[in-house]
Amino acid sequence: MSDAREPARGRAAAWNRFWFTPADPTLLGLIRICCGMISLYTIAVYSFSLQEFMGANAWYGLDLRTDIVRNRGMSAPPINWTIGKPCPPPQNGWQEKYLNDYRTRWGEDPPAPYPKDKSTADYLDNFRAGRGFDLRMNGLRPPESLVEERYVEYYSVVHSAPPPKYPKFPSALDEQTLKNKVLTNTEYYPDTFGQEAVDVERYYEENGFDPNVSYSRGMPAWSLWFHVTDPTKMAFIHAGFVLATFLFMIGFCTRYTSFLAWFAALNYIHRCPIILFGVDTMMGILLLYLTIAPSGDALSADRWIYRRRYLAAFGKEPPPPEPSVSANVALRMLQVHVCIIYFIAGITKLQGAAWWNGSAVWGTIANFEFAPMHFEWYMTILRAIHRHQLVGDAFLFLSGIFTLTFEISYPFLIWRPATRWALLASAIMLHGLIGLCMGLKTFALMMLVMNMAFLKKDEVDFLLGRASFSSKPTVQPTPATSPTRSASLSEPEAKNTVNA
Amino acid sequence: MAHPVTLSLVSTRLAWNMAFAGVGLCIAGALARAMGLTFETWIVPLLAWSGLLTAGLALSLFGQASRSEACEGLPGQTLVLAGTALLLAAMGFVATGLWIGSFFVEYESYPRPAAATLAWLSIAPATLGAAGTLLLRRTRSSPDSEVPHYRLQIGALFAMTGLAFAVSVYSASDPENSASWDTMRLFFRNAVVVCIVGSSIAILGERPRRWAIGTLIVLHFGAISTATLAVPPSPTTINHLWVRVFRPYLEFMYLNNAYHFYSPEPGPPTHIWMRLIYDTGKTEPNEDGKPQPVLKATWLKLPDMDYAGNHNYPVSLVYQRILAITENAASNETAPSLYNSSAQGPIPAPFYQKRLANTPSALGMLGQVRPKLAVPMHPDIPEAQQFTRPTIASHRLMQSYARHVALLPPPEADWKFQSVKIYRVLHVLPTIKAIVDGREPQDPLWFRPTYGGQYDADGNLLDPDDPFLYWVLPILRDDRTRMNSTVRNWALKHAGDAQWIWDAENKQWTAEPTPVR
Repeated sequence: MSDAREPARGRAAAWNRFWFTPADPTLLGLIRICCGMISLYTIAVYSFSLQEFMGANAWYGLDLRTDIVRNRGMSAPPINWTIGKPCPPPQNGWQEKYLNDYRTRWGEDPPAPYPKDKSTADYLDNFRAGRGFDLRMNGLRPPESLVEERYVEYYSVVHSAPPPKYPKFPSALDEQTLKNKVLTNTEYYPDTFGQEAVDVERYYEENGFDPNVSYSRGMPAWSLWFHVTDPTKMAFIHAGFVLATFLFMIGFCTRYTSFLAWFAALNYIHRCPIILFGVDTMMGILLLYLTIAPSGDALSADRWIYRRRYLAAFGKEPPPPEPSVSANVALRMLQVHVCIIYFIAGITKLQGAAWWNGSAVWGTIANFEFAPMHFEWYMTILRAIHRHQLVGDAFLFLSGIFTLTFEISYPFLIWRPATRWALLASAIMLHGLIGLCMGLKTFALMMLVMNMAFLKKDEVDFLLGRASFSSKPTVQPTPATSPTRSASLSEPEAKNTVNA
Repeated sequence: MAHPVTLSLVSTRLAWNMAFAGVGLCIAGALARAMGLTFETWIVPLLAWSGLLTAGLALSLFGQASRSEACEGLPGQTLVLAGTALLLAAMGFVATGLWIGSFFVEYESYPRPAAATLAWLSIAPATLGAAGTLLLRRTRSSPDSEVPHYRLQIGALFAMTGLAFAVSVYSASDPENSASWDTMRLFFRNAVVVCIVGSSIAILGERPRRWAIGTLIVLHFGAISTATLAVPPSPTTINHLWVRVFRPYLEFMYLNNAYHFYSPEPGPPTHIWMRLIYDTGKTEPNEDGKPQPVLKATWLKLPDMDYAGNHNYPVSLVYQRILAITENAASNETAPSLYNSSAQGPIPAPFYQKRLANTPSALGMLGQVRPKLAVPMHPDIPEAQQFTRPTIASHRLMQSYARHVALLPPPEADWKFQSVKIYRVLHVLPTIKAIVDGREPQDPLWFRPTYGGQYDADGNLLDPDDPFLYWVLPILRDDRTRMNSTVRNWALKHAGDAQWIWDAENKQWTAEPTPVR
């Protein structure tokens, strides 16, 4: 084998080892329970305010939300420098002359199309001289009537850019009236130019750009709450979602209820995004990965039922949950995702001056709506720390540095054995303080659950051993080439099997 | 027939029967739909949802069964596997056809080339490979023949579940109302794709399966990376990738968060104060002796919390959600210039002129109409920053909030909602020195209300010409040099609340004390 192939095989082997080594599902079971508890609480709390947040006349009304879901415009930056295409190579002497003159005057190539005659060319030059941009830059052809001229001028004044397209003008538009009008943006109104122009302006006002340059319309949000608005039916469905999440938490029919829990969570999220915060984001991520994973193979009702049936059938304890590749894939995806979250959260903070001068932390611990400032003990501590300015500044500065260092270094140091527990301990401290000082308890707990993805098998065993959940150590993950699964092995000498 | 002990609650044969039943229910729902019934009736959704839940349950229960317990002697097994192969091949060819067509077709609903390329990468290689595997039965050459047989059945079950979702797309459709259950049809369509891809991954041999999973992982994290990097300022390439390729996936899965937590800086929170005005149904004579309706008003404040900071919600999570509601209506457009250029030099813009005409300094000016209400400008904020026009999104949210509060039960049964005045109130963070000196963070002087407009029950803005619209209505001491001077809340005054004077002793707003004669 040549040396050139060795590095590639090494990388491929490393990739396979990272993603496809079977992993013990016990950690996933633990994560499932913790995530399930938070998700159950989050979804169950909607019981207090289901109509207020999800109903047809909620704070975020159904009409408004569905209008945005169906009609929200999305613009895309042009692939090349402008929306309008450049002029093609000249086909005749007139075009060649025009091209050269344009380059000489404006220092760049003109947008397509070429003007048909000199008067049009002069109009285009004068337009650019007056407005500062070529009216063809968004793909518009030169105007061929007074109406089109007036529309271009009106649009350019209002939006500081030329329109990409002429609207359909009413046939009875009074050109004489247009000729006599003084051209200012307060004199013209879009309805002068017909209903399509009015629609363009309305769309522009709602979306911030012309509908004719819209890349797409609508967004792929989905929810039962868009379509079920009867309060009784909503209550029934909500109860079903709570039940599914509970069953997921305890690990009953986990492959099924994990999907249902994810489906349930996203129904609320998509219906009313204005009530969301960090816990919803993390819940969606974690539930997705737990849907992929065999999170019910251990520490679950499924496992308990299986154990009882196995004992009844074979008279002895079943073997521990078997490692599986899908468990590893899900854990690894969670780990990588957590690294991305921390890294981005950390480096984007560097854009803010407050994180550099140390005052950012004050913005979190002195935020009355979030911090426990209504407790006298908290205010006493806050005042005591900042009674001396240097001490207070040092506290804020070091807190900010700790936050930045932790978040930015996380994706690099969490994988190293020597620093892993330092990072995990820092995560516990950071999120503990977030929960205490910022009131974001559910978010802090969810982040800690996500950090559990970095626990090792023996640490999980230790935790469970202390809580008396585990009677046996779990098996070591085997670097098997083909995936294996937990579930049972039918004993050859089995005399009693459980009837379905 | 006894089934061995597995994590599954049922035997694999029963799981198969459930899968067939689920697909059958979905087909029954589609037949009901074909006969003219729609998803708005009870029978079609009952059949469709029952079918989907049953098929999904069957798939998951089979998935929890042991590898060695693939169902032997399954009736129609050859037909099922052949059907699966055809379905997978069809999906692969459709994805390929859509991808090629995306470069030539320019139709609004047709996938764009970038998104079609992503879809092709995710679907076609896996499905075509799996279809080939099924047709050629290559996995039979594997030394462990039981595992491939199990995987084939899992793949077939995935495909059947996909078929159930596909049939349900039709069941939920209504040609007379394209919006009917449109978002759930979107979910069903994507579920078909997920099931087919899942089927392919289950059927593929080990090496191609790893390639398929690896590709999906790379695409998944590539998408997430574009979401994090697409927030301005961002490179154009990332913007293109996010808008054209990954955004539909990210928004569908709610993975579009950029994780900019407290970035670039933590900001102050926002409250919303709403003055709900009701028509009591009674009348009283006005200054001219003409009858006018008697109006009463109440306050609804978000978040609802007392002076001490205790919220009035059942749990803190509801309080957090209300805070999110107020924050979402807090975004503002770039502040316009207060002056317009003219031949005579800069002149105050019309909105600034109107505001200036309603300040105390305008009182008593010759030729000036005496304003009904003269509100001072905030002395500590540059005047240009005291005008904060909400973005279109914020404005539409305030309209929605108005429509919501209009439907709340009135304080008295015979009162009728008339309008609501909305104020967005920034709670400025107290300075460190102020806290150290003993000032309370909930001191009213830290609050900065901005008038957001008066809306009717339909959310229409009733007072676009109000001189204070989008201006800060300050909370100020009468005498800034004396800490014990009267504090006045001009927002409350503007709202028509007589209790606009701060009672520092009792921590509440009261009416102006009547002067002693």
